[in-house]
Amino acid sequence: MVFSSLEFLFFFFPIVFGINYLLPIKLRNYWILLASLFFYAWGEPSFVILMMVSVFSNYALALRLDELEGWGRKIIFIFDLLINIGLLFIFKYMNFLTSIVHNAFPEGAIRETSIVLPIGISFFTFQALSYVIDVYKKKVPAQKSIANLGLYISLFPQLIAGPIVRYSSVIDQISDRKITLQGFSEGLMRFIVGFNKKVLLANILAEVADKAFLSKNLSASFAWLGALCYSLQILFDFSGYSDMAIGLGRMLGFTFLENFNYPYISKTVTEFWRRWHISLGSWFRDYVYFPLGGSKVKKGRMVVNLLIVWLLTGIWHGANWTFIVWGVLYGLVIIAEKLTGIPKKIDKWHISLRMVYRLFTLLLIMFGWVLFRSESLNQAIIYILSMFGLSNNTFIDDMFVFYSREYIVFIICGTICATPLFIWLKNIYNGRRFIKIISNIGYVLNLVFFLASISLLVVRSHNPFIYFNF
Amino acid sequence: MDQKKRDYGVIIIAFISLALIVFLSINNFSLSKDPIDKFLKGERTFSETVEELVNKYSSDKLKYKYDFVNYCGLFLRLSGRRAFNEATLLNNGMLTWGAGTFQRDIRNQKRNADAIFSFSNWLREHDIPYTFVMLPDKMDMNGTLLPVGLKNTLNEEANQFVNYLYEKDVQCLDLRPIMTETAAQVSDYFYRTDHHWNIKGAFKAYQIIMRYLKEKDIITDTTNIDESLWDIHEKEDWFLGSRGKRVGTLFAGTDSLMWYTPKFTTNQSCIIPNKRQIFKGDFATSNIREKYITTRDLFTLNPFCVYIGGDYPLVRHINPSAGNKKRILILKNSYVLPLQAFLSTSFEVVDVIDPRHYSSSSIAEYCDWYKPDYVFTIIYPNSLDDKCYFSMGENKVADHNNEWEIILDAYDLKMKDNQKDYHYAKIPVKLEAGNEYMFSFASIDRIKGESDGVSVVLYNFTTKKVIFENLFDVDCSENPENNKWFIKMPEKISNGDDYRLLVYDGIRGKTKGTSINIEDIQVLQR
Repeated sequence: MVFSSLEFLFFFFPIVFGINYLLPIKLRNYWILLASLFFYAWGEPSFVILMMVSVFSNYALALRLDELEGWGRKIIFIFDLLINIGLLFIFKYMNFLTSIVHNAFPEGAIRETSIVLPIGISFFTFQALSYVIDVYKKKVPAQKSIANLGLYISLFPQLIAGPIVRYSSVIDQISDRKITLQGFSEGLMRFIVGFNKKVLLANILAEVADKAFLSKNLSASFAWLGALCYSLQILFDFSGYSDMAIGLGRMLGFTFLENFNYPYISKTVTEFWRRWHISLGSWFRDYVYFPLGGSKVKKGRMVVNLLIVWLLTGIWHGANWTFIVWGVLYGLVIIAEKLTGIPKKIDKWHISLRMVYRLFTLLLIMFGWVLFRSESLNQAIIYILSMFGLSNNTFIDDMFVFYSREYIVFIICGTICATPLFIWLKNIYNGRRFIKIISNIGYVLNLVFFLASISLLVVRSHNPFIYFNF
Repeated sequence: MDQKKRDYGVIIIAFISLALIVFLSINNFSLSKDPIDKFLKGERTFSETVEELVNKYSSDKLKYKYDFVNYCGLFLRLSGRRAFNEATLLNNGMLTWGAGTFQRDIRNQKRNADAIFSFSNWLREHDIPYTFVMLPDKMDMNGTLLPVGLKNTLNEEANQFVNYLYEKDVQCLDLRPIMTETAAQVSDYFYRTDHHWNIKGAFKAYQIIMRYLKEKDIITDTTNIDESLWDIHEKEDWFLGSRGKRVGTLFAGTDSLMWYTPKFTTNQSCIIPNKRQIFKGDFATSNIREKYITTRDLFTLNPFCVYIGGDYPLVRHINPSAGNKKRILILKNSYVLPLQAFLSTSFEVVDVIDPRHYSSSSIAEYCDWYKPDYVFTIIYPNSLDDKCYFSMGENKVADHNNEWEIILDAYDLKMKDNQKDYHYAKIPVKLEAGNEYMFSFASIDRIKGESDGVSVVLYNFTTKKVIFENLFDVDCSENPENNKWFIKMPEKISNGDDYRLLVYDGIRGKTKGTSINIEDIQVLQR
C-alpha cells in the first residue's frame, strides 16, 4: 500500500486513526502494531513472516545482550548482526551476486536466483540494526516488550521508505506520547504537503523523465530536460514520502527527525549529503564511519573509511552496478572536498567562485541521478553523452519543444519548491502582516492542491514510489 | 497573539481536510464491504481481497468520481497542460487522441494495400464492384491543429496506403482532402470532445458517397442527399465524448448532440441478430435510439451511438421502398454508425459488418453467399493498424463445382403460442460440421402476438450452446431474396456434435404470446 493511494486515504487511514483515538492509551500500541503488520501484508502477505522473524530475533538476542558481558556479549552481537545483514543480503543481493557469478562462469554450478525483494527491507533492517547496536553499546536498554519492539521496527509511517528512525530517538515516545490538537493538525498538514509533492510534482515530472530515459533518439536538450525532471522527481518523491511519514507519525504522537533539508541549495557535495536523506547519511556516519575511526585518523585511513561508507551507501540503494558506481563516485568527490577543505573554505570565496562551485555541485548531483535512474552503466553513459550531443544526436527536437512547453508550470513550481524561498521571505519580512496573510493563503492552497491530488489519483491508478525498491 | 492566530489557521485547515477525507471515506465505505465480507467468510484469500479492494477504489463505483475527473481537468488546464490521459487539446479547442495513438512510427502499408487489392480482384471476378473509402481523421491535412512539437503520423500512413491503392488501380474514395483540408472543416465536421465526426460530418460523407456512386452509374436515385429534406435536431451541452470523459467537462467543454430525421416518409427495419433486436417503422424508430436523446448522462452514456446504438458484428437495414433496389455491404468501424442510417434510406438492403466483432464467416464467404451489388470498406486512418480489415478470407471460399443440394424442401411450420419465452421448433435435418448450408423460406404469417421478428438459431445439442443466430423480419417476405440465411458450420472438434436448426416463433426470449406460420422452408447444403 502506498500513502498516496485512494485505498490508503479512504480505507486504511480513517479506520486506523479513528480506532486509535477511540482506544484507551495502553491499547494503542497493539492497535498500531496490528495496523502496521496489515499495512505491510497489503503488498505481499508472506513477507510479514520475514518482518516477524526480524522482530523476534532482534528482541530475543537484544535481551540476551543485556544479560551478558565480555565475549559472550560480543558473540551474540555479531550473531545478531549476521542475522540482520544476512536477511538483507539474501533477499536483496543474492540475485545480483549469482547473476555476476553465472555470467562469469556460465558452465559452472551457480545458477541465477530470482528471489523476490521484500518491500522496505533496507529500511526496517537498518532500524533493527540501529536498535541492536545501541543496545550493545549500552546507549539504551533492551526493550522488554516484544510488542513495543515490533511497533518500533514495523511502524507503518516509516516502514517501507523511511526515514530511518533511531530507536534511541523514539524509545520514550513508544511508551509515553501525547497527541495534541496542534500536533495532530500540523501532522495532518505535513502529510498533505507530502501528498501534494508526490502526486502533483513527482508523479507529473516523472512523465517527462520516463519519456527521456526510454527514448531511443534523444536530443541533447531533451536529455537535459529529462535529467532535470528526474532530479526534481526523485526529490519530491522521496521528500514527499518522508513528509507523509513524519506527518502520520505526528498524528500518532511520534516526532521523527527531518530527512530532507532543501538539498539542492547545497554549496558543496558534502553539504548535499547533510541535506539529502539525512537519516541514512547519519546512520552510516554513526554506525560505520565513526566506528572505523571517522576523520580522526591518518589521511590515508580516512580516505579508506570514506570509500567504505560510500561503497556501502551505493550498495544499500540497490543491487546494480549503477548504484555501486554512483556511491563510489560520490565518495571520491567527498574525499576530494575533504582533502582540499572546500566545505570549510567556500564561504570565504568570491561570490562568483561560490556560484560556479554551486553550479558544479548541482551538475554533479544531476549526473549522479542519471546514473541512479539508468538500468545499466551503458545506458547511463549513452544518456550523459547525449546530454552533450556526443551520441550522434540533434541538439533540439520536437519532443523537447513539446514537453518543455507542456510541463513548464510544473518544472518552474518544482524548481521553486526545491528551494526554501518561502522560508527566506518569511525570515526577511518576519512580523509583517502580509507574511501572515500569505501563510494562511498557503494553507488554503494546500487544501486546493490536496483536492487536485486526489483528483489525479482518481483519474490515474498507478504511482509507484522510487525508493520502494530499497 | 499572532502565533496563536497562526496556529488556528493550521488547525482549521487541517480539520477541513480531515472532514473531507472522512466524508469521502464514509460515502465510499460500501466499496469495501463486499470484499471484506467475502474474506471473513473464507471465500477470498487476503491477496485476493486486497486486489479486489484496489479495483473497487479505482472503479467507476467510487462516489464523486466524475466530480474529481472534472476538477482534475480544470486543474491541469489551468496549469497549461494540453495532453493528458490519452487526450490532446487541439489549437481549435477540440480534443483528439493521445499522442501515443497519432504519433507513432509510420508502418509500411504495402501489405495492407496488397490485401485490399487481392480482395478487390476477387470481388471483380465475382462481378461485385468495390471501393475503399478512407474517412477523415480528426486532423487537418497539414497537422496545424496540434500543439507545437507534436506530429500526426496517421495521415502520412493513410497517404502511403491510399497511394498504393491508386498505383494498383483499386477504387478508392479519399474523404480527407474533401472534408478535412482545413482546420475550419475539422471544427465543422467533428465533435469537440469525441474522436468521431459529428452528424453533420457523417451526412456530408453520405452525400459524397452517393454522388460518387451516381457518377459511376451504380445508382440513379440520390434524392435523399438534399439536406433540405431533413429535419435537424439539437440538444446543447448533451454529450461528453470519448476524449472528454477522460479529462472531464472543465478541460475542453462539452458537445451538443445533433441528429437528423427525414421529412419524407420512410418504412424500414433494422435487424441486429446478436442482440436479438428488430427495430421496425419509420427512420427514427428504426435507426435512432431514444435513450441518447432523452437521457443526459455525460460520463456513462455515449450519445455518438444515437444512430443504431453501438458497434455490432452484423446489422442489416431493409427498406423496401428505397429508391435504389440494391444491396450494399459495408465493412466498417464506429464512424459509420450515422452514415449507415443515412444510407439505409437510399438502398433496399444495407448489410453492415464490423470485422472487429464479426466471426460467423469470412467476409469473402459472406459476399459469395449474399452477392451484394456493391462492397465498401469504410474506415479511418487509425484503423490501418487493425488486421481484421485486411483479412477477407478469399481463400476460404471453396471452389464450388457443386451447386446447392436440397436436403429439406417445402417444409411448413405452424407454431402455436405455448406461453413460454423460448418456444422453438426443431428443423428435421441434422447439420454436419465443416459444411455450408442455406436456410430459406417463402413467407411468414403472424397469427398472434406483436413480435416483428423470427429467430433461427444454429444450436449444438451436445454442448448445449447457441453457435450462430439470425433474425428475420416477419414482414420482409415481400422480397424472398431477403429470406435467406447462409451458415458456415464450425469445423469438427469432436465426434457426436449434434447441430440443429431451431426456429423460434418470435424473438428468442420473447416468444410468449406469439404464434406464426412459416411456409415452404428449405434447407440446402453445399
